[in-house]
Parts: sequence; C-alpha cells; structure tokens
Amino acid sequence: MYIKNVEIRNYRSFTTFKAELNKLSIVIGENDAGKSNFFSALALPLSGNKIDFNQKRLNVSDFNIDIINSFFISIIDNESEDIQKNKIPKIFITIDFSAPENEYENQIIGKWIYNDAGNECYRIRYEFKPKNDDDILSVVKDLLVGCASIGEVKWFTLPVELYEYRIVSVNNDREIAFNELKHVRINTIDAERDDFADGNTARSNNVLTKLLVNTLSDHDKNEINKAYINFFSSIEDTESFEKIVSSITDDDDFDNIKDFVNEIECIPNLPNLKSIISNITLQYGDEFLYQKGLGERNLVYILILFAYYKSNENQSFNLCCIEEPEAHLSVNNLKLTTDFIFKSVENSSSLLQTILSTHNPSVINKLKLSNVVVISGNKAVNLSNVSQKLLNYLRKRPNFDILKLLFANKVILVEGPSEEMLLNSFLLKKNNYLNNIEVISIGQKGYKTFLDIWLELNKNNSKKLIGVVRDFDNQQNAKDEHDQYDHNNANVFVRTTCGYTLENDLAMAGDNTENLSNLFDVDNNATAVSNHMISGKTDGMLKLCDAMFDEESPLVITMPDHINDILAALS
Amino acid sequence: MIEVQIAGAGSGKTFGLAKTLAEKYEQSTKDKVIYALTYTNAAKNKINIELNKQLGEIPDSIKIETVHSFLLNEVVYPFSPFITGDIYNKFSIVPLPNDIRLKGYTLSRLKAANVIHADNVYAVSRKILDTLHSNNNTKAKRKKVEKVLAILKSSIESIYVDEVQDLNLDALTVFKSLGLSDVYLYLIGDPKQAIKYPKELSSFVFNLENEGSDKVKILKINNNTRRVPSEILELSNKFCYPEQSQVSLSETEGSLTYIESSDERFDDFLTQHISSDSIVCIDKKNKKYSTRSKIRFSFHPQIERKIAESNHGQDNELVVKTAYVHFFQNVNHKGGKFAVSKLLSEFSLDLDRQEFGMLYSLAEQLLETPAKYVVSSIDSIKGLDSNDCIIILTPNIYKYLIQDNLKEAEIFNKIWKQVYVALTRTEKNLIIVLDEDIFSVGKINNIKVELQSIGFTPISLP
Repeated sequence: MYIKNVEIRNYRSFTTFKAELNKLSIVIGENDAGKSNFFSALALPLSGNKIDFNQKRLNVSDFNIDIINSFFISIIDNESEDIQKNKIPKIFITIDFSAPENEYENQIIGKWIYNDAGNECYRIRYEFKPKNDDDILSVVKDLLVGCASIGEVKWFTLPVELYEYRIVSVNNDREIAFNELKHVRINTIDAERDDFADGNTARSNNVLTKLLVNTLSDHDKNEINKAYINFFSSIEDTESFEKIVSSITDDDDFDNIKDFVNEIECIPNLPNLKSIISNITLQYGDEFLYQKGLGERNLVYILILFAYYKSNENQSFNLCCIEEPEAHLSVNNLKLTTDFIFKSVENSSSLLQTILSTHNPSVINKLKLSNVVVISGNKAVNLSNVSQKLLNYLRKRPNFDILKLLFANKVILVEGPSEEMLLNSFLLKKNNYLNNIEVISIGQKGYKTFLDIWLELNKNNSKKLIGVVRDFDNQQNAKDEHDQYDHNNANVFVRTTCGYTLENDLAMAGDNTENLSNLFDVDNNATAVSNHMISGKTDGMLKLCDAMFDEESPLVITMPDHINDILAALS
Repeated sequence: MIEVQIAGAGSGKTFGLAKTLAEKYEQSTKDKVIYALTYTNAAKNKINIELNKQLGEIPDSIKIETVHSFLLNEVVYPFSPFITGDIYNKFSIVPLPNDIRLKGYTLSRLKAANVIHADNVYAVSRKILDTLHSNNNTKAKRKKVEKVLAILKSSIESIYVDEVQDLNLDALTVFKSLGLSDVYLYLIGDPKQAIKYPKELSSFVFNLENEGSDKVKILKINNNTRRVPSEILELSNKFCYPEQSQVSLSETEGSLTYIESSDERFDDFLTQHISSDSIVCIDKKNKKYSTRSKIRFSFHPQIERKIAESNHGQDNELVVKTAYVHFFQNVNHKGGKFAVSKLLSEFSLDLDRQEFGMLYSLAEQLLETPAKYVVSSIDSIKGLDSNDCIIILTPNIYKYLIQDNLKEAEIFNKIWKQVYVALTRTEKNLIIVLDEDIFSVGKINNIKVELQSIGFTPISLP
C-alpha cells in the first residue's frame, strides 16, 4: 500500500501541483523548486507525531501569495460575488492511496473508496478554508475599503483566524475521525537537522526525545517517574540537606517555626516526562555523539530514525520522508547510507513508503532513475516510464551525472571525450563572459533517449536550451530522426557534421588545415590531418587543446559550422 | 456464517447474547471489531451492563451501537457514493408528513442536501449490500457490491443483533449479505413480538431455512421464560407460533384479574400504579388516556436553515433551539396559527407553500390535549417487565384477546402481536381495565363473562 497521487492547491509555492509517487520515490529539483514544501504538504492530511498535531492549523504565510493577491484584486475590482467567492483562497491537499492488497490494508483505507470517473481510488483530503464564505467576503471587503489598487494592500492581511482545517474522506465529505487517521502516519527526517546532538550543553535531542516518549510503555513511564522521585528523595536524605533543615528547627528561639518548617520537604520540580527524558543524550563509543563530526552525527541520525520508522511497531501505514540523506556525508558514509536505505526498503513490509529528496546523482543511480520525481516550476514529472534503454545505460555508468543533464540551463551533448575536450577548451578561451554551458559526453552515438528524457522535463521551457553535436557517419536515416527533435522543439538544436565525423569537418574549417598540419607535422591537406586525428583519437585532440592555450603562440582554431551554429544558438 | 436464535418474552435474550458474544470474543484474534447491535439507546445500555458483567470491562474492539448508527457509519456514509452515486453525510429524524407528495418532496429536498432520513436507512443499506437488489442488475455493479462486502469483512469479526423482530426485510437482508460473506452473524429476536413488521422476521427465517445453505444455522428455539408465570402463559401461549409455546421457569403464582372504572377506588388504583414501577398500557391513545411519546420533534432542516440565516447576530444552533422551544410553547398556549405567525415575524422568514405546510403539520403533532391519565403505548413497553401489568382494554385488543372470529389475515398481525407483548410483561399480576368511557355498560357485562371464561376474576383490592 502506498500513496499514488498527490494534488496540492494553493499551498506555499504551489498553485495547482500534481505528482505521482511510487513505493520508493526520489524527489529532485533545483534549490527553491519546492521540495521541502512538498514534504510539509504531505504531512498535513496524515497523522504525525502526537506532539506536532497543532501544526495542521496553518497560517497566512502558508498560502500561495498569487492566489491571495488575485482574490484581493477581485474585490478591489468589484467583480460579481460569485466570482469573488470562487477566488477565496483555500488550501487543498488531496492524496490517493493505491488499492489495498490485503485485509489489513482494507481496514485502514477501505472506507475511503471513491469512484473517480470510472476509476476506483481511495482518497482523502486536507482542507484549510474559511468556516463561512460569506463571513470572509464581508470581512475582506471591509478591510479593502478605499483601496484603489493591489499595491496598497499586503497579502498577509488575509484574516486567517476565520479559517479552520478539516481532513475529510472525499467520497462523502465527512471528517475522518482521529481514530481512523492515526493508522496513516508520516515521519520526516528533515533537512535542517544539523543541531542534532549539537553543543556541549546536552541540548534536548528533539527527535530522540520524541522517539522515546512515543515508544515507552506506560509501565516504563511509571518506572522512570518513580526513579526520578526517588532521586529527589535521596537528596532529602543527604546529611547536608538535613543540616539545613535542622539548623532552623534546632534553633530554640523560634519555637513556632518548627512545626512550620517540619512540613518542608524536598520534591522534584514535577516536570513532565518529556522534559525528564530530554536530558538524555547519545553516546558514541567513548564520546558523546555531539563531539563527533557533523557527518558522523547525520549518519547516526538517519540510521536510527529510519530503522525506527521502518520497524513500525504500531502496525500503521508509514510514509517515511528523508530530506537530502547525503548531507555532510563522505564518500564512504554516503555509500553506506544509500545501501542501507535501499536494502531496508527492499526488506520492508507493504505498509512502508519512502520518499527521499536529493541533489546527489549517485543516490539516484543507486535507487533507480525510474523512481525519480522531478519538481520543476509548478510541475512534477514522474520518470517511471523512462525507457529501459536509458535505465540500462545508467546502470552501466553509475557515475553519470543525470542531474546535470536535467537541470542545466544550457547543455550540449556530444559523443565522446574528444568533442568534450574541444568544446570545453573553446568555451574556456572565450573570456568575455562566464561559461554557463554544460558539455556532457554520453559515450555513444544515439541521443534520442536523452532527448526524450530532457524533453519530458523541459519541453516548451524557453529558459532551457539543449544542443546536440552529431557525426554524420553516412547514416541519413539517423540524421533525419534526430533532426525531427530540432524541428519540433524551439529549444532543441541538433547539428550534424557534413563529413563523416567531427575530425573531417574540423580539418577543413577555416585555416585549420594549414594550422593543424603544422601542429601534427603531417601533409598539408585535409585528409592527412583528419586521418591523423582519427587514428590518434583523444591524444590528437589533447595536443590540439593544449596548443590552444600555448602562451607564446596559441593555436587558432575555427570551429566547424555545425558546432558554431549550436554555440550561437545557446548564447 | 449465520446463526438465528428465536427466544420468547422473558427468556433472557440480552443475557444470552452477552454470553455468546463474550465467549466468541475470548476465542477471537482481537484485531477486528465485534458489533453488538440493537434498536434503541435504552436497549444499548442493557447490553452494555450485561457485557460488563460477563467481561469485566468492555474492550475497544467491541462496539455497542444501534442498528441505525451501525448502518449509517459503516455502510451508508462510506459506500453509498461508490455504489449508488448518492452522497450522504448527515441524517435527519424530522417527522415526515403523511401526505405522499409532501413526503416525497421532503425526502428529495433532504437528499439534495446530502441528508438521509432515518426511515430510509434500511432501504439504502440494502441497495449497497444486496447483490440481488434490482439496482444491482449488471455484473459490474454486483462486483462493486462484492468489493464493499470484502472491505467490511476485513474489519468486522462478527455482528450480534438483538431484537431482530423490529427489523424489516431490507435490514434483515443487509445482515444476511454480511453473514454470507463470512462475517459471523448472530441474530436473536422474537417473531411473536414483531409489532412493527409483523410478517417479516418469520418469513425471513422461513426462507433461510428453505434455502438450506450450510452457512445458516437455525438454533433450537428457546421457549423458556423466567418472567411470565404459568397461569398467564395459559393465555399468552394462544398467541404463539407452533413450536413456540412457552414454558415457565418462574415459581411465582400469577393472577389474571379485571377492574371496572365504575369502582370507587379505580382512580386511586390507577394513579398509584401509574406513578410506581408498574406497567400501564393501552394500544393507542385516546381522550382519556394519553401515551408518553418519546420522539423529540424539530423543525425541518430547510426551515432551520432559514432561521439560522436570518439576521439574528447570535450563535446559530442556540437561536434555532430557542425558536423551537418558543414555537412549542406557543402552539400549546394559543394554537398552531398563532405560533406560526409569531415565528415568521420574529425571524422575518420568507417561506414557500410547502414550508408553510411543514410548519402547520408540525404544530398539529405538537398539540397536546390534556388527558386524564398518562400511560404507555404497548409499542413502547417492549422489553420491559414489572410485577404488575395493567392493560386498558379497547375494542381491538378485546377482539384479539378472546380470539373472537378472527379472519385469516388477522392472525399473527400487528394487533395480535401487541396482545402477546402486553400479556407477557408481568412477573405476577395481569389486570385488565374495563372503562365505561370506552365500552357501554351492557358491553362491559358481556366482556366480564367472556373474560371469566378464559380465566379472569374480578380484582380484590386490599
């Protein structure tokens, strides 16, 4: 059982956002794309820690600002009341569960069965909206009296005290009782966890405390309380304490005080269990955990928490979210962690779903590209339908940086290291602007798989450009197929050599023939130059690139047309 | 698995149900829920007490509810949208008008507001859980029903239903569907006391037996009664189905007597019994004897909404409740017309013709005519018992009591069953009241003769 679909409306950076999830999902996206918001949205319709229940009541900064402004504008412009009511800001987070596979899962989600246009789904929704639409309309109208334009009013004046939250079953719009909701839980290991076990003042390890408080049985809690009280009794029993008390009572001058003072006892400050337990910290070997390095602490944190959440003693559905497991981890520890997560998920019960967010390509490659959900703009793209060809490619090259391919604003794909070196050197030489073009060598001739996946994410996005440098190799069909991508997409540029390979075109461009024949000490004709480079492969190219940076007489190279076109397009 | 237990009046049904449930609970895996269902909240309390005695403490996995509450929360609210497309999320007990058109109108207004009426709960539940229902006429629809049954089965271990004679065929069919889906079902009741739906339980059991399924077991009928003395059984047994004549385990000597209203001590006698623990009943209220009506009325939701929406500036619920109380008082004080006009002007209500009709019919139902004696209706004393049971004789009850020339259709009908219920309430004394305001003097003399022939004697007051 897992959460299949999420729809988020009007929450923080999202207006309308839909994402498809798998049992194990890896969320990737650039900074500020909304990954953390995605996780906090997920927490709203689900049961979290007992201690955090109040966080379901949102505040004004949780609204998407554009939505608030559009509502205010509608009021200022005096649109019809129906339209205004439609624009009242409301936050909705809807989740669909996959079909239950056994009786226990039926018990948990069976009653949420819903017929969505012929599809059977199991759906619940978190709503944050005004108790009464008319009331909020009239209050906001009063608020905006006299305002002529949106510039005169601040979005945060939206009166959210008139709002309330509900978690409902979508099939009948009835609130879900706490007793039912507690069987679908979420646990997050969030990104800002660096102060775990930090400092030498034995600071409350929030998460560890919560963990303990939630797992202690009533019996255990009683034992702890008793021990704590005994601790204070033993203070009372110490000689020094008795001395203090007796110094008053033995004083004969003040008889009437004695009875009064004898009543004094030493009792504990009666803190609640949480504060007693918060005075616990972790040890690691002989040291305190907080004395260990940041990376080590993070590792321990992740291992403990994930193992705990996975163990699922209370037999509910558990959505476990881990933000950036790679944070601060060295190569070895990262490998350990990814392996741990991977194997734990494999061995887990059907009631566990895991979502990670990451910026690290090796995490993606290990945990499979088909589990990736890319968050970009207001969209989420699930890569589960990515072609098997690409998956196999990545499996053969576990170090390939898929993130560069997906997110770089300007990318040029080339076939091999020769082209890569040449382009990078050329770009490096142009010192009148910062090089912001990623050149990626894919080590093979076919680019279609890569273009397909790039387009899944970046189609129609004019801020993202991709160029493809191809060798003709006498394959007209392949050229035509690749050219289609260029014709169909304004942000894709495919160019092919005129000659057989890059070396042929390069040898003939501009004055290259003469310059290169001098460099390589071969006959002054294009054929000889290109043959020399082809047979020498990367060595030849390396020499060429070095020569471009020679201090005394740098080699001047003209780029072949196909490359020039692409460079021009991407600039 | 379905087990049906027929047990007569005073046989200790609630005790038996609690015992069976407790045994089953001990053997169960405790990860699913066991339901104990009955008809009224008072009966719920009875089961609660019995179960507490059996188990010490009632665990979370045992839930005691009314049949309505179970069907609403576990069947109708969650699954009606999936099976029928109708969404319900609230229910109403507002009294429905008798006029068929008005009734249909009210029901459809309720449905549009996602409100299900209490009277409709059984029928709607059946649509959801009965594969043989006419609505479920395609394979796809039947598959959906089976899916819902599978979901229910995964969280319900067993269901124990008490007083099944008060369920109609729809409700019985709903439980049958659950029982045949491997939820263990235990039905206990007494068809002899089926006042509301006289024929339905018996024919349901009859059909179950004939279907001969190995998933159904009709348990041996329990004809013992700890309550009713054998002297009275001689009379009440005449109202039993074949094989359901009862045997008394009581050692008390019962008495059958009658008293006439002309007796000078009649008033004292009756008032004393009314104010004490005794059961005093009549089949239907009349000018002299009114019956305590337990139903609490309210405004129709439509009208409640209009009141709430008027510009009153206070808490909605409070205002509606107060308006109702005032309306009630005004009706009794100065009549329906006055109360309605007062309501309209206080809230500046704008009502359509139908809504006016609803208000006036509510006013009629609220009018209490002062009666001399306040007694119980026979319908309301089901399940109760007392040392003394006094029946105010009326022509209908009399006719059935002496089984005078009854037609085929009248045997085992509603009144027949009312007589059985009335006769089996007492642990000791059964007293019939012969009232001159109900029967003429001449008639009373005839009645006395007949009564004596079936074992009654005149009462001797101390």
